Amino acid sequence: MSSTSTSNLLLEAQGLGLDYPVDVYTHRGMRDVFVQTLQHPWDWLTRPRDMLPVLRDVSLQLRQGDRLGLIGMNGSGKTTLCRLLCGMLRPRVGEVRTFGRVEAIFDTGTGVLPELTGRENAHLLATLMYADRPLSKEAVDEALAFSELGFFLDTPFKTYSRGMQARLLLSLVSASASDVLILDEVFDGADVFFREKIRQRMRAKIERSGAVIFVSHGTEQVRELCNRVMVLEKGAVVFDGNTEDGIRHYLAQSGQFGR
Amino acid sequence: MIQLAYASLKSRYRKTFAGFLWVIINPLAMFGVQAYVFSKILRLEIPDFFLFLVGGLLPWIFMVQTIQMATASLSAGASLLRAFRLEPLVLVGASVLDNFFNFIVSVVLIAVPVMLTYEAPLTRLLWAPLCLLPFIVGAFALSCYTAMLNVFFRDTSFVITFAFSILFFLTPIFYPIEFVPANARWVIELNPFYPLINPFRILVYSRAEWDWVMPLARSMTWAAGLSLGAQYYWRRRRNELYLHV
Repeated sequence: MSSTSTSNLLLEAQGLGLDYPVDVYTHRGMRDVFVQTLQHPWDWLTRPRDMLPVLRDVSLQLRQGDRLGLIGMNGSGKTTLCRLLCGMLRPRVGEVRTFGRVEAIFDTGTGVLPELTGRENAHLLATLMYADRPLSKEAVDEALAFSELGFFLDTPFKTYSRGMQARLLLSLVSASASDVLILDEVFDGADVFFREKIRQRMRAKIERSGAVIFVSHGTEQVRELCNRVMVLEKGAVVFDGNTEDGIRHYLAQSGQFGR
Repeated sequence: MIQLAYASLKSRYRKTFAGFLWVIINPLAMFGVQAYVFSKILRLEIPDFFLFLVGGLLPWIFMVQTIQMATASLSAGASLLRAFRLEPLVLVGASVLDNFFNFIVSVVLIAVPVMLTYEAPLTRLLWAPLCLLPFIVGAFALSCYTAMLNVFFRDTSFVITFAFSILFFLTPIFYPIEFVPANARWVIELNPFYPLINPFRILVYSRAEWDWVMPLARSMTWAAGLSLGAQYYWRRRRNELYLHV
């Protein structure tokens, strides 16, 4: 991933391809590998690994103001694409170029050290999440106040419910704007009472951010937040265009159109 | 990485006061039992045996504890790794630093008093940072391998425990390498723990002024080789990591 400056282009991906060896999907033990290697040593040395394509020739450009909804059925490659774009994964072929800070959130139910309090975890999470541009102490404190966890902020994180964990992380995530923001089904963990509040705050963050990729199965959320939709199917882009047409394409693909 | 290591230490010591005591009790008990068994029961004829033992045993305990803890670090940090972009090796490095703090505490509380008892010159410890540099780099590289393996193979920690129980006898910790028959010494030389631990042992035990320099050069070569290997393995398999954590 390279980073230089151009006009209003914030992210560019060209011809991205990624595949995984098929044997990675079978979780084995070292003893199994040892026994198999002894049984078929020649196979182990010479047999090429079968590869399963996960993404094929995906290209996209994100410009200032783009609110891209990324939709597709389970296993279509949405999360893998987002992980490639934010630098968590390396493509086998193709290239990702970024022109600003990319921030990506994939799960809201996480803490660092369960024995530490929610407040301590929040400060640690802020350090890890915003490693290249640390959040100020005031910004973390503001996020903690927003979470409304009150007394529980000073109790061990391991006692938190899934909803409380989501409150803490979502409050932190929404504390600062970024050039490119990738949100992968992040609203799903929060409880009903907090969801509307965080949605408003997140919407404000989205407005402040340069470009956003929003992954969701909820077409209403996509319709509300996005001005462009990309549909993935079996690792390839099958639609990239305006929101309504994209949602229609997705619903037709999943057999829900007209329901 | 430093903040994570610090938070991890804080978390452990808050959990129980015994957590802090364990830092000292574990190496002290290992040292006490081995010192008694090898000097009084097996009667190994090694001059200043306690000094010899402490110089090798404390780094060995650090290696074992670090690799065992770091092996689980990627799996234990799975939710963090899945949640946002975080360099996974930060979790491994934090485990190494966390244990290195324990090692320094055990050197100050156990090795220094033994050195004073034998009137070994403490000024030699001024070279310790140099001797410990390849030691900690090597520990990090080995931990990267085992942490990755543990993600792909669920029984890695059992295999590592088994390997350490054998390697303890194949690493000159409680005996000098000169005790090993010359024609079998190459087996010991292939064991990475020996060259990584040896410069510190020499610093603590030997009275000659510069005899740690050549072992340090070997130690640095091993650390560089292990790091290059770990980097190659990491680059080759990092994408697959996210499928399993």
